[in-house]
Amino acid sequence: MALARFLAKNVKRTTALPAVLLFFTLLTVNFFIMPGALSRSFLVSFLNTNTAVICLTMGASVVIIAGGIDISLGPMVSVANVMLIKLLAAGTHYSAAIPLTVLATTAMGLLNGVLVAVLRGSSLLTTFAASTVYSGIALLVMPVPGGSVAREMTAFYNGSLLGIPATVFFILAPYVVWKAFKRTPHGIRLYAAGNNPAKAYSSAVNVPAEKLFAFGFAGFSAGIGTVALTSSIGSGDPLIGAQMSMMAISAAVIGGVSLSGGYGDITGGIFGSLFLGLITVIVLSSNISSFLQQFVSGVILLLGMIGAMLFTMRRGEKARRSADRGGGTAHGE
Amino acid sequence: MANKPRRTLNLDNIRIFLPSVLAVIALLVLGRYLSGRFLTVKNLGSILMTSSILMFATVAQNIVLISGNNGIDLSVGAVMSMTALLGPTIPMATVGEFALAIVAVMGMGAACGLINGAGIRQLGIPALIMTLIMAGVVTGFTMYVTKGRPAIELSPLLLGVSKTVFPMFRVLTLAAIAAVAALEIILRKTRIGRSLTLVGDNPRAAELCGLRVSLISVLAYVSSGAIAGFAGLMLVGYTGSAVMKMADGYTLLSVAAAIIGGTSVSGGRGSFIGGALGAIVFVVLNSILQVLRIPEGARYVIQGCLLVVILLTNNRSQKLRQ
Amino acid sequence: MLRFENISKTYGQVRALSNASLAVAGGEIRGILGGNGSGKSTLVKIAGGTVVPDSGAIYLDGARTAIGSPKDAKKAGIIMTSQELSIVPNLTVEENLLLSRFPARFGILSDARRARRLSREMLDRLELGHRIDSEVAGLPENELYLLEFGKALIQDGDILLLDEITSALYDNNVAVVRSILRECKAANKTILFISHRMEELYSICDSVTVMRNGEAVGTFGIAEKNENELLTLMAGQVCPASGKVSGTGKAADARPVVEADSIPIRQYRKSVSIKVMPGEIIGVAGLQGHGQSEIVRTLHGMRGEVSIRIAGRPTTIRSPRQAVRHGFAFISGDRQTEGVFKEHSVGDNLAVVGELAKRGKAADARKALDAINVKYSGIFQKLTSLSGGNQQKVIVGRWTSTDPLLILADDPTKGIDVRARSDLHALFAGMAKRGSALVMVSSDDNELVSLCAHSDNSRVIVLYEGGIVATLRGMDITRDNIIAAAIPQKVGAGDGAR
Repeated sequence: MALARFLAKNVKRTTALPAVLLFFTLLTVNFFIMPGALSRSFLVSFLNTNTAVICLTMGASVVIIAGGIDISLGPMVSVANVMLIKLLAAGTHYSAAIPLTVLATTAMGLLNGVLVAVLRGSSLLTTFAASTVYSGIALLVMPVPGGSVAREMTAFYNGSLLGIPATVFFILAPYVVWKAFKRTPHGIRLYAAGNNPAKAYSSAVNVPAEKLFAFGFAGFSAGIGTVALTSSIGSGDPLIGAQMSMMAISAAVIGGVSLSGGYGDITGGIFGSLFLGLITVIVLSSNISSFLQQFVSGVILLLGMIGAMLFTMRRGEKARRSADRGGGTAHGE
Repeated sequence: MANKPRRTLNLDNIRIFLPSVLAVIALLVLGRYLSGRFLTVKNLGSILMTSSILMFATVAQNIVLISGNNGIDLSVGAVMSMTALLGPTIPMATVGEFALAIVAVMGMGAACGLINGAGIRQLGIPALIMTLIMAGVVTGFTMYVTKGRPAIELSPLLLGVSKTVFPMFRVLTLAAIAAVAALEIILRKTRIGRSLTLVGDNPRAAELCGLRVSLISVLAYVSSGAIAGFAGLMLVGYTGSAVMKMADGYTLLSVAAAIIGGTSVSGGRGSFIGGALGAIVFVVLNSILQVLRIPEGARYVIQGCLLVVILLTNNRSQKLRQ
Repeated sequence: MLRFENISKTYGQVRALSNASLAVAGGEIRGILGGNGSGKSTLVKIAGGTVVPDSGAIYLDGARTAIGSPKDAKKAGIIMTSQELSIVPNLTVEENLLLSRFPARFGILSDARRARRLSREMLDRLELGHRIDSEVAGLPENELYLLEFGKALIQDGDILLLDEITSALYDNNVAVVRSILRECKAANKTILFISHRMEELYSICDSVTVMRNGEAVGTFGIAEKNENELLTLMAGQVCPASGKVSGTGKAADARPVVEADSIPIRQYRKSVSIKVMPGEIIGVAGLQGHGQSEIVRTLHGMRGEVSIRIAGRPTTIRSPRQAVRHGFAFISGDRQTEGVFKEHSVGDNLAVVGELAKRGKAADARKALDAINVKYSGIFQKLTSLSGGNQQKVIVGRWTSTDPLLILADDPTKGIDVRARSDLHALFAGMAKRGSALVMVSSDDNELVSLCAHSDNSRVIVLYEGGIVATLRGMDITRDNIIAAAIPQKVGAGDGAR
């Protein structure tokens, strides 16, 4: 009966459903356009290309759920990417360089968290300023793209462990951390802090601490994503992360994570980014000139966001109408 | 019930403008210390020229910031790049054609602004996200239309904006000063200007008083786009050649300049004159960094850190505990 | 034992607490009674940690305790409920119940089984067992307040601060609360019980402290004073008569300036009809949340479409903008959210609508301000630097130049001191004399009496659960009549002393 309760609870409250449906619909459509789309090799290479963004989206989702937003995640990846390449070039073994990289991005995430959650800077603008700083650091570390990675890294990334593609483990890392976090009382506290910080504070929730965790987690996910990305492309590029922030945030919103905070989960984000990634594949594989591709991707991102907001609006209407029936607020002192 | 002295010498305004003015003076002194050629008429003239373009971008950004609802326009740079690259393809042989070209680029910018406004106001997409996505769409559009090969030849009329009218002041500089002054008056004295600030301050109260909050909000984005479109054309007129994504850096700077100039991030309060002063601060700063031969990456770091400091001093969220 | 000593707190210009002192012993249920602005909520919030006092101290069992946050309060064993509810809408009932104190194994892992047991136990006791997995959004108000109560209980503190926890509860809910509080008393907990419901104070509390103007004016055993004596202590200085408020005394064949046949009161699934004569003053009374606000807000276009007749002509009002264009004015008691432009000056806050906005001349603004007796030092000072009462005067003054057909006011004097209140009444009276009609919702029955009782062109309508249950005119407008009408079947019911 625990299973039945679990299903009832989760299916009723799922916000990821649209994204899941979108993704599987598109996958089916793709199958008709492109035979071999459901083959293992296609799916594996699809995951390979998208793992980094999926990790970023998980991080972005958690920050948004906690009531903030972090648009410096992309530039964080740029910094981490060039840093990793430089470390490897300087002779550091990848078994040390990789953890150092993840540590660095987590530190960057926590720095963002301090600025926003503790010092109460505006989430949007502070991370926007931070993204400039990180982009600048990336350019300083490696002004032009280049470098290479250890063969083992690329081999691991493209291979599999126990029959499961290695990329899945990259995605699992942040996933497991978040699910573990949700198993502690902090889980609901983070959701409360994200939805209504004042009421959460009244309930003795440590709002800044929960937000700080969210930003740190986003940094951690960015680190994992960077390792994935670096192993995939095999080199460093200071501008590589530039577009990734927007992709991650849009994927999160498409995945049902509400921008007002406190709603949604990273599963939605994962499917949101799978959906966006699939669209990119379809666009790339069609014969559109390369000059048109960024435009088309941008338009699709826009349409996806519009669609997600329309869906949220309709759900918001329903909730508001039932809230009206439920009763108003108390007055007086 | 004593009456306060005249409006313009209001203590509040002085308090807002003072940091920028002091910063400019301090930076100019620093520049003179670093390089003998810093305070020459030629160098100052070119600083003012670059500031002028940033002033227009800041005006655009200011309008949107003042309009509230967490307003921001991160597509300013992309729209500027678009008109900088596409503008020169419009024939500008005569003054009439030049004027039409200006209208055309402003129209292009306004169209982008309209899409922004609609997404933000009608669909509730946060401004940060909507304008950032639009920036990508506009950049992609530009890339597609120019096919990576920007226009080569520029009309002499367009290049004429760099012409010096009198020492230190070029055509565009004077245009910028006039525009900023005019807009400041419109903001403070006219009904539409005050409606903008009221809507930005408390949209709910504004709506209850009968103000057209939706229309004003969308118009703010349309205006921002139009002015950004204009600024892009002026940019290419000044630099003389067009490069892909050439104006992208203006986005951050326009936000920083507006905030340094006293505009509140949550809306309802701001000054175009303050924004213009803020623009000068950043251009002088950038100029000094170039004199010091500081690499591009470090410049971004410094600008970003400066913005963070400004944000933390001016624009912090409410404390949870009273 | 909990002791407050000389607690003071000022918000901007408003003195919420002024050297307030009181002490409550363990095992005692102390009622706190006071009108608007008496400071009772602030006092409780200070002990609960969400507000920090400017001066004064709190003593627990003789030891001075600093409470800087809700966490500190919790550590000290003080648990508070909030009148605005600390319930978070995106979580379920169970999650909200345990938000402040979730059971954990080894200190970190959530213990779902123990959580389920604890929440079921508490919810069953509150007769809310069936709601355990419900989303909080959409629950009726009384269940939300029971949940707030349960959330406080489950934290098992030694000191329980309850701020109007029963105001939205039905009789059966109150009975449950009463029996639980008796158990808490037996367990030697200290309980503060803020309420304006006399029957509950008499049936639940051992003693009562009356607060007025930020001070505690007296503490008595519950049997020592009767209701009238307590009310006298509460009201203190009688509101100075705002003068004879006479309407324009229109002829009997005057046409109604505004008529609405069907104003929906959604939460009660009823609708109300209203007819307003030119220059008439209509007071809207009743228990809070029974639909009074709906009337004025719907008329101002804030609740979607409404069909009305203005001077006989049918019109539809779809938005506040349309309402304003038809000559309506709206004044909210919630100044911060719905009235004040905080970044703007006094002059700018005046010149928002009508002629002042069009011409925007400072001279006109100064004239308007002097006419409404606002204390200010410069037309360019920020509105927020004025006292609350003066701010509201400016907000009302904003509409004077538009010569409104109909002024719709939703508890406009809420939280405003007595003197400013009478100034505001005079303002309204002046506008009524010039022909504007006024529909004013008020949570203060005395105010409606002083505004409406002496005029021949005014009445008070009393709402109960979305329907008009009484219309009072002239000499019939008394506080007792309003109260009697507002609580139709409850007079004499319950087990409270009278």
